[in-house]
Amino acid sequence: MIARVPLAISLAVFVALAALPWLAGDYWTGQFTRSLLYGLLALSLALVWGRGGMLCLGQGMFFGTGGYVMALLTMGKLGPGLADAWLALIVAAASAAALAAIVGVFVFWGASISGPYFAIVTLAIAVVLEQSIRSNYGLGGDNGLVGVPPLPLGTSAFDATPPYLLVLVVVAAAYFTLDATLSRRIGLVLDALRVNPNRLAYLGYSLFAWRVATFAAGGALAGLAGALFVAVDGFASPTLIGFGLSAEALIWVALGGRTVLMAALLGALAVRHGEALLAAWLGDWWLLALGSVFVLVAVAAPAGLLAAPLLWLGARVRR
Amino acid sequence: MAATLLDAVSAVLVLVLVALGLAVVFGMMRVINMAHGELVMSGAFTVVWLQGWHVPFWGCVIAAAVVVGFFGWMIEWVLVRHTRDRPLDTILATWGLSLVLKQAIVLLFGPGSHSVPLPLDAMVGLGALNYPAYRLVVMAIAAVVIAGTYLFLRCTNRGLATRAVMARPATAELLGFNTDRTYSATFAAGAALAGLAGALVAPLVSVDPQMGLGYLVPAFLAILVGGAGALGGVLAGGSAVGASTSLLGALWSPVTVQIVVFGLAVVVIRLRPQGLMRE
Amino acid sequence: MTAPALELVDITAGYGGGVVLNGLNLTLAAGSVTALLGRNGAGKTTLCRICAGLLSPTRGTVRISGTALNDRASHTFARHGVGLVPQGREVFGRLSVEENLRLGAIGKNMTADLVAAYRWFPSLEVLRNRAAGSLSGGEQQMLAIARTLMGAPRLLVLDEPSEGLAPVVTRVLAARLREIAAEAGLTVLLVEQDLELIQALASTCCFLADGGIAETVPVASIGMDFDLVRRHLAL
Ligand SMILES: Nc1ncnc2c1ncn2[C@@H]1O[C@H](COP(=O)(O)OP(=O)(O)OP(=O)(O)O)[C@@H](O)[C@H]1O
Ligand SMILES: [Mg+2]
Repeated sequence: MIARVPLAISLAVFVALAALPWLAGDYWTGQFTRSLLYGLLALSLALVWGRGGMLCLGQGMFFGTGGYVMALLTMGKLGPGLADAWLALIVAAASAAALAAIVGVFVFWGASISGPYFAIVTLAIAVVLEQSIRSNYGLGGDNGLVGVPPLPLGTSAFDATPPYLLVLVVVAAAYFTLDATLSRRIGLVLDALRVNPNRLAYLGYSLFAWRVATFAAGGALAGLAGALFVAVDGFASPTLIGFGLSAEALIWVALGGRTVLMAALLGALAVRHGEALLAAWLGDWWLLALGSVFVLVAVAAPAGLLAAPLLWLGARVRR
Repeated sequence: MAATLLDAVSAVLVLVLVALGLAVVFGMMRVINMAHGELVMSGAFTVVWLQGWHVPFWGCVIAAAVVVGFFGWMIEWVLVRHTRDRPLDTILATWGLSLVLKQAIVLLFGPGSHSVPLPLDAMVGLGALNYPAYRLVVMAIAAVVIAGTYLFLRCTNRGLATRAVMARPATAELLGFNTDRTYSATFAAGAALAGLAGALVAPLVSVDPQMGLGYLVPAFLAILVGGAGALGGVLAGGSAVGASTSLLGALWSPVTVQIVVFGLAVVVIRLRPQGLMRE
Repeated sequence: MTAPALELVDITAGYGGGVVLNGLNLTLAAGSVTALLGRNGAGKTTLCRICAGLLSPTRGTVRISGTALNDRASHTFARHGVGLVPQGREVFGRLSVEENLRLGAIGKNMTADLVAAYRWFPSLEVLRNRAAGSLSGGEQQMLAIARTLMGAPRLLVLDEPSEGLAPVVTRVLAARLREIAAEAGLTVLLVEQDLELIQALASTCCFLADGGIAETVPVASIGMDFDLVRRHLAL
């Protein structure tokens, strides 16, 4: 079983994040709201790829689906009666989960498409989805949907703190739920699903059901992240759904550590804010550097860069 | 009508040429090279770059194959070799490499698109039809290269050795074959084919840093549709994907066509996981 | 005095954590034909893999004709004259018989002398355009041996060549191998369970047990000595 970051450390991380608005001011609070949502996307990919062993090159499609559904609903494009933001969040996450389930059923049914084939098929689907959204004028084409209303938190739209805290609570809830779930039998089953699926099948588990369920759960998390992101950002753009964001999510998770949830989450935060800090003096070289580090990690440190330190720290804390 | 058909043949040949390098690497080494599209792009940019130095076009084409082939040799040596028993990490590493190559090109040439002048301006009369000579030349070269690759693998000692290494690497080692060297040669050859394809299409398309993905996905779908491993599969898959894209393009918008073709390809892969050309 | 064709000195080897061979020593004089016996799982195939460089020992030295080749790739062993016919034959099933034979020579940058191969194994000539995968077990075994011989090895290692063959076929194989070994002056290491084949070919017989060579006896003596065989081979 994969080692787990102890509760004390994850709690410390979230408490530190909760203090952020009082330490860092509105600008950074707004930035961290977004990167926390990217972190949630990273968590979904860590679940699907790191634990479930399904390398999805198009995880962005669920983020984007959640985002577009949220935008359509809250902007009242599907009828004013459906414009309630909280309902929309749920519907958005459910739609992304449904898309994931459909893709999953299609891909994993019967002689399942697995490994590298799965990666390519998910990439193809993401590319097609991005293309179709870009060419769909009902969805705003290349410009996307502008003017998504902010979350109705009853506070000033210019105060970045309430949405930040809401997002933090959602991400923390998702994290602790996932962490607790994966430390039980389900986690063991997923490890078997990744490492030795045939043996799992011998034991009478349905690989199909487990794969589809895991993929759909990942889709739901990504969809929720995308829906919140669109509400925070105020618009839904086709970049949320396609190749670019999917590639970025892959980088966060790979650099952080694909099998350790906290490492994936922190990977997203670190890369996003590393970019904000370093892009100033690295300029365009930043992406080159990031890509090169990513390649190096894939070749020489597949466990990621943050997983080992986190687990080491965890072992110290436990003692 | 005849022009549409010729366009379809041209689309098929170019797609098969692009997919060929990918198929050689995938079929022989079971390695998925996600940077293949960027190798095609590198070939095209080699032409852009050398044309700036007034190198004649056909010199640029040869140089592109050589330069990108050398790239491939290095990629195998630095990345692929070390992830051979971790196929998903090979995907990841080459995928990362594709981002690096893209960004390197942005830094060197800027994010915008470039155009390469047609080396042959003439139209060729084919009965009632006038067709651009350069397209015909590209089709001919593609056909020759595809046939040459096939003949190389079928009829030469080195091709036989390559097939043996592909089938049973350990046994091939027992017989004295240096499998590591075969792998790097294979990867370099696959890259050189990508570079060649990129150079040849450069005058026909807009050359920009983002062009790689547009080649990678159809090429992969072609291979998966046709069936990996056998060269016949690349031909079949390339024909299916290339011809349907080109023919449907006469009826619908490019995006619709892409959605339909990708969708169909995914369905075919789903229904025949071994590909159309399963032995 | 020429160097021994094969010297294994203090070899320790295994898979993962498990040790299969432990401090094994074995020397084969050039031109000798030696049989190796041992029960299933004793490590015979492991020893063959070490002789051919498919597996690196964790300790000890492998010398081929006097040259130490530890940790070198398997093709280097082949270039130094080792030819292993692996257990399970491992012919290239999709390639034709003739292509399989040619590979044996191409691997060593030699020109393929198919005439010699067909002289040794006439039945292969009839089959030469068939896919190797469609041959019978015995035919595949002949092919595997012929393919290795195409590379003109000096040390021929045969891992259970009689496995799965009819006794008649084994006898033909024995006769063939004896001719070839004599004609080419080969050193042969024959891993076998079939006593008849051993008696037809080998002069010395080594028993592999507990990770080392437990006993070495002249082949002539094992025919009578059932106790010896039972001690090393019975369950
Ligand atoms: N690839 C492997 N990984 C792990 N253990 C192995 C491997 N190959 C062999 N072994 C183990 O090493 C031991 C020796 O195996 P080996 O194949 O050398 O036996 P053998 O004497 O050739 O047996 P047989 O007569 O059945 O061919 C066995 O216990 C086997 O389980
Ligand atoms: Mg054995």
